[in-house]
Amino acid sequence: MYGLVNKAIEEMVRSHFSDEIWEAIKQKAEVKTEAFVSMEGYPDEVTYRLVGAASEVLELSPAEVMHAFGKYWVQFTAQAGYGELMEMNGDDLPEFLENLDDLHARVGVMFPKLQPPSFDCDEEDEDELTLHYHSEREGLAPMVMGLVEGLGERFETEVDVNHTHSREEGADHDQFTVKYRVKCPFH
Amino acid sequence: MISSQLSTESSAPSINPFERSLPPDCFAKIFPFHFVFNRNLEILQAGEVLQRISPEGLIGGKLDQFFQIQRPKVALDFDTLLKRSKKLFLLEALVQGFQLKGQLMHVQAEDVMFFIGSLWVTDLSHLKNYGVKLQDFATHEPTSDFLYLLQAKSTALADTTKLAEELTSKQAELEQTLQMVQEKNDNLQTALKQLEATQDQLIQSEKMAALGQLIAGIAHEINTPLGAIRSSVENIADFLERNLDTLPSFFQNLTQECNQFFADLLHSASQDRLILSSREKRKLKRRNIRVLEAEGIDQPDDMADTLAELNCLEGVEAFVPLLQSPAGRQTIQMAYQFSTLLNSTKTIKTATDKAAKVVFALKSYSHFDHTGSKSETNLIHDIETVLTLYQSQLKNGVEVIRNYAPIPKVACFQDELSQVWTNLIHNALQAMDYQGILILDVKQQNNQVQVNITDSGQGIPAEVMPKIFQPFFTTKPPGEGSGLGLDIVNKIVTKHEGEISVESKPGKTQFTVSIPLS
Repeated sequence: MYGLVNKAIEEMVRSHFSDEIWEAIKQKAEVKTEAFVSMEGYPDEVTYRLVGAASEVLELSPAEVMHAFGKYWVQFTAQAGYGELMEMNGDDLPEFLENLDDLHARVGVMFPKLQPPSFDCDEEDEDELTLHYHSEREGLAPMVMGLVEGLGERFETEVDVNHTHSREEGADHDQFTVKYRVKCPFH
Repeated sequence: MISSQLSTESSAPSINPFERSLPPDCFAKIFPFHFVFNRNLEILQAGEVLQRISPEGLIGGKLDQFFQIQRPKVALDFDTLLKRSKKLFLLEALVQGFQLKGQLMHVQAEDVMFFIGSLWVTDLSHLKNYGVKLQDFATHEPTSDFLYLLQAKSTALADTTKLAEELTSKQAELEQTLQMVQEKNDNLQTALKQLEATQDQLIQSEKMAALGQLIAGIAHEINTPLGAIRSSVENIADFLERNLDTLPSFFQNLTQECNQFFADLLHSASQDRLILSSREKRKLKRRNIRVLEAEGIDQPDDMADTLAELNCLEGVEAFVPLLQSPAGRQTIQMAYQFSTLLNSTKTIKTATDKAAKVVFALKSYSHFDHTGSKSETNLIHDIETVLTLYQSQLKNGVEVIRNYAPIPKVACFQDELSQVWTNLIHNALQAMDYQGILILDVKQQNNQVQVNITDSGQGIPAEVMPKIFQPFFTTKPPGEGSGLGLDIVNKIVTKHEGEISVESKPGKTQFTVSIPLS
């Protein structure tokens, strides 16, 4: 997992809670790193430990932490210098989700060790699509749900995400149905 | 296996490996920024995205109306360009300012030139200005990847900058902390100096407090000689009042013989007197009375007394001729009065010496050295000064035994060591309630001067012993002792790199102070 992810977890805890809570989480996770370097690869274990410790300290389930983190990730990456790239990747939620795999594929070809996930979209209806999520990693499906919700906020679109197929429950890969509706600017 | 495959292929009909080409619409899709121009530099065809971001009239327009060549630096001429078909071309759009990077390809059959290339940007924000999205680039071409890399580089740079800033800020914090530590250190140094000054003042205050307790005794020591001086002066004044008128005629009428007697009598009076017991004196006096009576001298008792006062207890027979004449008796009376004058002046001298000694001791004791440096000091002299001040407390019941061995002068803070002797002597006197034996031993031992102060008091109880050097510890009633005395003594001795110890049992308490000589 590259440092940007760990940095995002740090930033989320610091901004939503406090510096002291972040230090407590880091201590519980036995993470000694003072500052994460964005483009540096860190063992996945570091991220999992941080999420586990955050879950204990904040008294939330790991899934809840990952869900919140997914939402925050959209906001964080936009602020962390990737806003323009995101803008270039689509003007609305379905277009962005359609291009989401390209974005990760390009990251993957440039930084092969990072093993970014893969996404695929099937348009089911005018306002519904199926999002296929393939990852080498486990337990990050809740993050994808938060991510889609975060993107909904970014594109001012109401979203309803359902985790229909779960790898943890034996499916080949995780699948989500995403129902969306652009918010009326007058409401 | 390979050779058989090769032989099979070599036997197949020969085909042009490049006979397949993309249909024009596919070509246009994978080169969205391409364009084609003829020998007249007229643009015949352009990719969709290039058309979209260029001004209207691109197709059919002249190349030099829309672009200028930045690289290579050549004239915009078909033949010139033809010769450089392998060069990297960098074109700049004249209106929007975007750049196209690519190469030229001449198609002989149609005599047209293809520009195959793509939009060249080094900053993502430019894409937005030109109205281009990442999806406008052909998927195969690396421009998007380049932009991702560029962003990754920017992020890494931002990280580095942030880390550098944090490092700078931490360094500043560290320097600030160091400065604070330095300031605190300075403050502590100042506090230490103030403490030392306060300690000096405390020592001086304790000295003055001890002096306050002594002052009644010292006043008595000065008052006694003053009383002697006063009575002597009264004697002298009384004599002068009574005799001033008659003295000139007395000396004028003095016969030569009487004059000699007068001188002899005064000489005798001024000599040291024989040390005789009262009984011996009475015996001599009775003898003299008998001699004077036998010679028919008037008032032999009085005359014998007068002669005794004039230190003439023996050989009164020599004065008989003089006493038998009225002038002679008058001469003896006058000599007697003059001898009392002499005695008065002697008394005044002794009294002033005594008072001066007390005043000198007082002055030495209360002196406060502000120089802060050590001076070569005679410790015995200082101990004697303290004893002088305690004279009135000592003389009624304390026997002082001085065992002073010769010692060299000691480099010390004299005022402070005086305080040590005062305190220890004062404690010793109090311990034996001003009745007993005070022994002072001073000697050199190796490279130290050792002073023992021993009293014959009741001793220090064992349970009190561990606390006696603690500040504010006192066994005296409230108001009588600050409890700082021995604490100060200890501090002063330590300051001199010396040692103090105490041994005590009923009837003998000994404080030992050792001060190094160098």
